[in-house]
Amino acid sequence: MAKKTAPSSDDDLARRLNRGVRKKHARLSFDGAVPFGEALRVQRWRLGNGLRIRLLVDPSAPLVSYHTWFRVGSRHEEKGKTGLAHFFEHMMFNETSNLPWGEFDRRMEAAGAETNAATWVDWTYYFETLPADELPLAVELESDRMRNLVVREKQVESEREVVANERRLSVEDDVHGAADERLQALAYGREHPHGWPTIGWMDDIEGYRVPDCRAFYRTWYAPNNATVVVVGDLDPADLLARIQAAYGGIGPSKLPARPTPPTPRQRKERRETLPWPTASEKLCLGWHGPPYASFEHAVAELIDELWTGGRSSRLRRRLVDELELVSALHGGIAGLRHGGLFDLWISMREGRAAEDALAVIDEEVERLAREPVPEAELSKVKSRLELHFLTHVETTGGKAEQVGYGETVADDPSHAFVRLEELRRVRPEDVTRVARELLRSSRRSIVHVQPTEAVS
Amino acid sequence: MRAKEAATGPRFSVASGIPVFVEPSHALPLVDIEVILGRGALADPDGREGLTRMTARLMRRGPRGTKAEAFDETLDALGSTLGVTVGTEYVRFQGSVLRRNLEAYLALLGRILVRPALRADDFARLKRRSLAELVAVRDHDRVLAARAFRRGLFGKHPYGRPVTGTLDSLDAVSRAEVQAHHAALVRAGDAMIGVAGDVSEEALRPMLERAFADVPEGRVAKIRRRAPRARRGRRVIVVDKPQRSQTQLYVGTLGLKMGDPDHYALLVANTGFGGTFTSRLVKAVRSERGWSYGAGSRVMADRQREAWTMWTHPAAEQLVDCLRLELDLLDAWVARGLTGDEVKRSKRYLIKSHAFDLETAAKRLDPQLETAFYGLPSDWHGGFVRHVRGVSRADAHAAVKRHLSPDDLTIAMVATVDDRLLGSLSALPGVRSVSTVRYDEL
Repeated sequence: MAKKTAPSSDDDLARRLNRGVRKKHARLSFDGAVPFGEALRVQRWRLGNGLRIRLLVDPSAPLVSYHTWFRVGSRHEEKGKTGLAHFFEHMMFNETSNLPWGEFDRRMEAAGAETNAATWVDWTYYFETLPADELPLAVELESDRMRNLVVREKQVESEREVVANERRLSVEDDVHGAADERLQALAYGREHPHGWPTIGWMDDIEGYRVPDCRAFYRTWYAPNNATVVVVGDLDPADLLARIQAAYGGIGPSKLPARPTPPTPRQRKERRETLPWPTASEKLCLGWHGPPYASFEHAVAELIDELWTGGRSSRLRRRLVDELELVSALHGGIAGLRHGGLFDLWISMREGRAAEDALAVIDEEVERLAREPVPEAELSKVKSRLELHFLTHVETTGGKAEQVGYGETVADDPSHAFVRLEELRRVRPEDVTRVARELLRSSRRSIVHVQPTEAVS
Repeated sequence: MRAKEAATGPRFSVASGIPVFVEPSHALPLVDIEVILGRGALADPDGREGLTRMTARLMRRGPRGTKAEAFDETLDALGSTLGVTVGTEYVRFQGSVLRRNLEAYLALLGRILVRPALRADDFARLKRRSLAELVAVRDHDRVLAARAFRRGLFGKHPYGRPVTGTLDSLDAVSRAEVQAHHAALVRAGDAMIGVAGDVSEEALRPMLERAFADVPEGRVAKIRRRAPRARRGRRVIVVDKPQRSQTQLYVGTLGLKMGDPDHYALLVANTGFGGTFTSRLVKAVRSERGWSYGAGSRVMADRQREAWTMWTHPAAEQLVDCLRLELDLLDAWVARGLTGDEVKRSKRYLIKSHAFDLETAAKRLDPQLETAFYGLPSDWHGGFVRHVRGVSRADAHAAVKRHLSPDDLTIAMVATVDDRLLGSLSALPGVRSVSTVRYDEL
């Protein structure tokens, strides 16, 4: 957990901002600050209605990034209504009782803002990065759509069509997307929230109705389920006063207690075949991984880099360069609150058998479990991870994303720096220990893509 | 807020004569480096398409005296990346490195430029890998559609050739050709270096002098560039691929030459047509009808006229309606231009969002390099705000009419072909031909 800094003038600021404020939802409290690297710090504030506010003053560019992270994602959905969290990511750009349809985007564009949103298992977030003098606009429009979204049949119908097309793009016509979706369902089962796709099953998308959407909005889009993260060239006193005024009138919702069911026990390897019109075989593999806010997750991240990171990484070298079996390879470890898959995607060269690549992977699993990683190799991987870290916090938007992600998934806005420290202290024996636990074949699922027509 | 305008011109030159552009920022212990060579895929002889890219990628395998595996090991241990991009006019080595390892990184970069190993076994391996990648591209509909579009638009002009080459052309490339190509590729007189990040000019200068001292002087041989010509009529190319539920669709015509006086007027016009989420195209296709998740339009420029394109990806059953709508929108835009309000909003968006172009040192460096590389006027990028502000509604419309011909279009798509689809496409207004090609024969 992050350490709090000593009480400061921030407490005085809270007293000043609360002077004359009668609504309890609008009263601000200061929850301390945590360092964000050596030079910056994240201030932690809270409104009476439960809205968390995280501010990071960084005047290095004349920009601000304004993020709103809702603690609702695909794991909060119900069977038969999968994809609703993602669907709302689209709906939130529609009309409100104050703004006609299209006006949100028009006003943001007039301010020169970059806006977008994303959804995953644990969260949905909305952001705009804009010139610093346009910050009041972000406060106004984000608070408005948290409370006043208008959900009508026309918008639901239009966005349903857009989302169906997004699904065609990323899953139905995309071999990697299709295989990954099968993999999640294979590893968790279609009934488990981690087993259904964040974009939702096509049948469910086609079945969204206005009452479903209204209920979802009323339940989850509430200040006590959100964190506002603002990073950039900002004046905290001015911004907090605006946030108080804009969000202070919004009441909290009653959030349902919907614990994520435990990961189904997997006692043996699972396999599935996916026929596809492609020239070469593919493999999509996944092992059940640890929760994001754990040291084991940091070690798994390091193992991923060790296997698939740079050109000298173990699997890349063997599969791509030495044996010339594979044309594309990448991996990753899902950063989820309750743990996700450690996965690999492998596209074979034409005419090469996926089983040959699998045999190499088995050898590399065995090697990790048996031989300590040499210190020089470990140091190399850490250098690459340090480079990745720096590139992630280079921009205003990048910093805001790190703060929001850490806050939402690990309850710590400076978790990115905690992770950096964890990675620095990984020892060879940690890699051996985590690899033995993580990469057991009995915890592995495999989707094998088979070409449906001969292509020469 | 007034955005800071980018500086122009090199800070200094190394002894071999290569100009160096520096954009310091001490926010993070990170440095981005670019080395640009003034020769690209246009130099590929006919039948050897992909030669320049193959040469650059083989250089990336490491210098003489260091095995490829050891070279990669060293780069990774430095906490660095090194990529190579090949365009029609340039080869660009580009990477990032932890500040503490900058000197070692630059030394490696200098060695692969001047004394790359170009080993026979690395060449054979790279060729097999490149051929495998060309096969793997068949999984990516958007790439297939883009390739078909460029081939249709530019025909036999070099801009229509894939920088990556084809299975036949790559197979024909020999190691001797790569060695000869390298010998002609690296010349100080056409190269430039860009460095952005946590470094001062004083610290950088001796590192670069050491690393790039041996780059040969002189310039690369000139490549004659002829202008591409628009083909008459609307021509449809369908890349036939089984089981497509959706169509990757590109519609376009010739675009601009780099430095064209109409550049900013067309930028403003295109922003209103398909450059933002509230632009005409996106509003009509996505927001109002939900026919495509993505939609947009873009003007590209090179030393000769590049392309203007609009792209969407409608569901298969909505393809023809979506295409008809796009053609109607294009006709209306060329005939009548944007409204005054659309021009005002486009200009405001471009001016305000220009702050993003200056956010990081690497972003500030790029326009300086482009200005120098293409010989653009010194205020081309630095005067961005002034240029955009000066565009009138009439200017924007005149630029569209002058450069974009809605009667002469290339329309390329990846779809599952049947007679009904071909008939519907043939019946669209102004369509002169509909041709098909199998996705594995493109």
